[in-house]
Amino acid sequence: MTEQLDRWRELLGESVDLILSLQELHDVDEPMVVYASGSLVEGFGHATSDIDIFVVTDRHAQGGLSFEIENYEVAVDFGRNRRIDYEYWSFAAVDALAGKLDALSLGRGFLAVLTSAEEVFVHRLRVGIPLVERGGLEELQRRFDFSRLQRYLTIKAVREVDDVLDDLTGMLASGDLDSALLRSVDLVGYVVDTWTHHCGNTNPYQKWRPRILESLPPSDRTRQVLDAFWGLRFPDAGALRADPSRCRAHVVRCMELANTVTDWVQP
Amino acid sequence: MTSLSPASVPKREFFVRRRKYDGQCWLIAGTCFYEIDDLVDVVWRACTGDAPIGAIARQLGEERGMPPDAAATATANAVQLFLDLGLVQLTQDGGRRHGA
Repeated sequence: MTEQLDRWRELLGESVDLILSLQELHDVDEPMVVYASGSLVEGFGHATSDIDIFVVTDRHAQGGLSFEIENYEVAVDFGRNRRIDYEYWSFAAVDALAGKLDALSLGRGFLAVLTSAEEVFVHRLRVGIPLVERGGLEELQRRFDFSRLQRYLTIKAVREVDDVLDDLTGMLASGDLDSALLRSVDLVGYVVDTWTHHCGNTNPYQKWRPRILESLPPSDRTRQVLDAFWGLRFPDAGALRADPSRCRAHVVRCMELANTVTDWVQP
Repeated sequence: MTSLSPASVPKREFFVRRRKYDGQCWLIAGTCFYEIDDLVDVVWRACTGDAPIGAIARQLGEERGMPPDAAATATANAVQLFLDLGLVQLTQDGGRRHGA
């Protein structure tokens, strides 16, 4: 146990004891699940990353820096090295979210009904590490079908791709190359999302796209997407804007990439 | 029956997207939707601009266990349909280039 706590301290940059004590989460009698998640736990963190702590409980967040957001509360505290965000979710809200995920339509009737916070919550529950007894977290995880989140995010990304493709077709047809060039940047990002979610990623944060791509099991297709991402996401905009035919060709390459990747995802 | 050469190389137009949900497959070009069956889908996916119609027909025959003549006819018919609908262009045909 001590060894594990030391490992968590190294991973998070603060001791578990401090993390728990700031919100008085030690030795509580009531049912409560406390776990850490987020970029530090996933290995994406950096020097100024905050620590994301999730508290599933029926009690309220503590302290002056706390506020309510729809179906959960957030409290902000500061450790010795890092800011610590505590998300408080009630058991009822977590149950409702598990039911919402189960009831999603993942076919033609798809609607993107999960909020960003809900997507993040489910993902972070999936990758969380228990800070108190392990069983509580595992029981919570068992309530969620994480493969449904993965499929949901994949379809959602394809829908985003569709929106951009519609825009780009119209922009090219009307000769609005500046708008098309800018929108093609969005397209390449959504193509990456489509591929990483298809490959099992449930992290919805766009800022981690390159890290997530590089963390996927190596394959020719992932390599192609990674190369295309860096090749197409940051084109020489000045040169492209000076040459309409090159600009159009660049946008078409982005669209062809989208068509290729969605074919892989929908065989 | 079409008069397409087996050496012609069909390439999908960039503005056409293929989507598959609940086992049904569509080609979407702007506001036009075309539902396609499995055989036509195999041909569509092979229209990458890399393979001539003859090679696509062989691929279709192998994937679906079809006799060569039937696969050739099905492939040519599908490509002709794509051409008629403006969904592909022939990028190479004995040095000539055909718009859809």
